[in-house]
Amino acid sequence: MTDPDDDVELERRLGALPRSIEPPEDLWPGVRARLAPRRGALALVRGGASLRGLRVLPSHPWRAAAAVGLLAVGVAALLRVRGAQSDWRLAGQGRQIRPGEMLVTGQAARARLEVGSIGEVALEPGSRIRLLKARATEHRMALIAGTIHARITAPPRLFVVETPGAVAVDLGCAYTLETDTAGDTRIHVTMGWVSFEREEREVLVPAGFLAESRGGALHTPYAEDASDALRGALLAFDLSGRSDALASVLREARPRDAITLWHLLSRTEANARTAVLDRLAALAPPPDEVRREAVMDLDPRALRLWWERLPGALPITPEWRRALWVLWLRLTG
Amino acid sequence: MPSTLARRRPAADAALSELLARAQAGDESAFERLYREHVGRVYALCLRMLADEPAAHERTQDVFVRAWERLASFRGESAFSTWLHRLAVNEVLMWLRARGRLREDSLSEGEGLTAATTTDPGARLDLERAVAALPPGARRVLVLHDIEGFEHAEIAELLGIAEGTSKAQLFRARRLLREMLEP
Repeated sequence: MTDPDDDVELERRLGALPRSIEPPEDLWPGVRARLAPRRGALALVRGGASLRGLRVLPSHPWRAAAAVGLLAVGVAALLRVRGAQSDWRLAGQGRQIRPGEMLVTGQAARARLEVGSIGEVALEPGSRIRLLKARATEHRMALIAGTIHARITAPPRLFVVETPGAVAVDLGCAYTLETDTAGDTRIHVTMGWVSFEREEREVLVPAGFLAESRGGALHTPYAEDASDALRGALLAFDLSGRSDALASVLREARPRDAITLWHLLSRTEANARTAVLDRLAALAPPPDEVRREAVMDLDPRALRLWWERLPGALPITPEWRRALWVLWLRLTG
Repeated sequence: MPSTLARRRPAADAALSELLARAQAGDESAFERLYREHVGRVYALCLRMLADEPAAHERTQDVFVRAWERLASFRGESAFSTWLHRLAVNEVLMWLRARGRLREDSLSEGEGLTAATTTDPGARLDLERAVAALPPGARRVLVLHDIEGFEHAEIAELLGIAEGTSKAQLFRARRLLREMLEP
C-alpha cells in the first residue's frame, strides 16, 4: 500500500512546481507571421470600398452572388442596427421584456418576441426562456426548455441563444431550436447558418442541416434529407467512435453530406481520417492549394479553404465576420 | 478548472480588459502583450504534456494562433487565463489525437519509463525531469491533475478515457515518480 504521507508530500512538491516556464527562445515572431491574414482583412475595412479579403470562388458563380448578397445584407443590417432599438418586446402587446426576466408559455399558448429591430423569436407551447442581455451589440437569451423559432437579420454573432446543451450563435439566419428537460438540444437551420458551440468545440450548421447536443457532447451535423442509414451510423459513431459505424457513414454519404464528412475530419484519428479524407475528396474535391498533409494535420487554413468549396457551405470567413464587426464599431463610434 | 489562477487587482483587470478589447478589434500589439503575459503558462503546459521541447514550441505557437482566431468568441464569462488554458489543453490533445498518439500511448504503455531516463538510471533526477520521464499517458493525467488542477471527470472527458482509468493512471504516475525520486 502507498503511504498517504508520501502522496501528500508528492502533491506538495508537484504543486510547488512553477506554473510558468519561459520558452528558451522568443516564439512571438513565429506566431505573428501566422496572424498575417487578419491584417489583410482589417485593411478591407479601413479601405472602405474594397472587397479584398472576402473569399469568392470563381468556379461557383452562385457563391459570388451569395457572398456579395450576404455582405449587402450584413452592411444593411449594420446600418439598421446602428442607433436602432435594443429592447425586447412581446409582439402585439408592446410589453417590454427586461434582462433577467423569464417568459413561459403554457401548454396551449404561443408567444412572439421582437428582438430589438434585428428580428424575432417565436415560442412554441410549453417553452421557457430567460432574457440575458439586450444591447445593440449583443442580444443573448437562454432557452431553458421547449422550442423556439428565431429569424434574425444582423451581423454575425450579434444574437446568441444559450441552452443546457450548447450555445447557438447566429451568423445571419433562421432556425428552430429545441431543448428537453434533460438538456439535450437540437437545432435545425432553415436559412443562413449557425455556429453551434460548447466549450471549445464548434460545429457549423448551414441551412438545410441539423445538429444535436446529447449528454453534454456536440454531435456531428447532418443534412435534413440524409438517409436513415447515414443518420443512424453517424449517431453510433458520435456515441462510440466505432470504426464500423464510420465506414457506414462514409458508404452512405452523398455529395450533399460533404459538410458532415468535413466535420468528421477533426473527430477522427489518423487512420480513420485518411478514409474520411478520401471519401470527402471523392464527393467534393478540395481546392488545388489544399494539400493532403495539411488536412491530415488539421491545418485550420486548409480546412477552411476546403469548407468554402463544399456544396451548401457559404464562403464566410472569420476575417469577413470580423470585418463586419469592426465596420460596425467604427460606424457607431 | 484549476483553482490556482492568480487573483488580479482591479487595475490589472481594467488593463487586461482594455488589452482584450484592442486585440479583439485586431490590434496585434495588444495581442503581443497578452502573449508576453501568458506564454510562460502555455509553454509550461505544452512542455509537460509533451515532454518534447521542439513540439512544445510548435504547439505553443499553435495555441496563440488559435487564440487569435477565436478571440471574438471570448466574452469574459471566465478569466482570460482560464479560457486560454483550456484552449491550450484542447490544442495539445487535438494535436496528439490527430497523430493517433493518444490511443497508441494508452494501448502500448508498459510499466517502464521512457528511454531518456532508463539510459541513465543512476543519475539523480529532479522532479521536473522525473515527470518528463513518465510514460505519456500517465504523465498527461498527472500534469492535468496534480499540476494544472483538473478533476478526474474533466480529465476523462478531455482524454476520452474512463474516470477510473484516469485515477489508475494517476496512481501509477505517482508510484513511478516516488520510485524515481527515492534516494
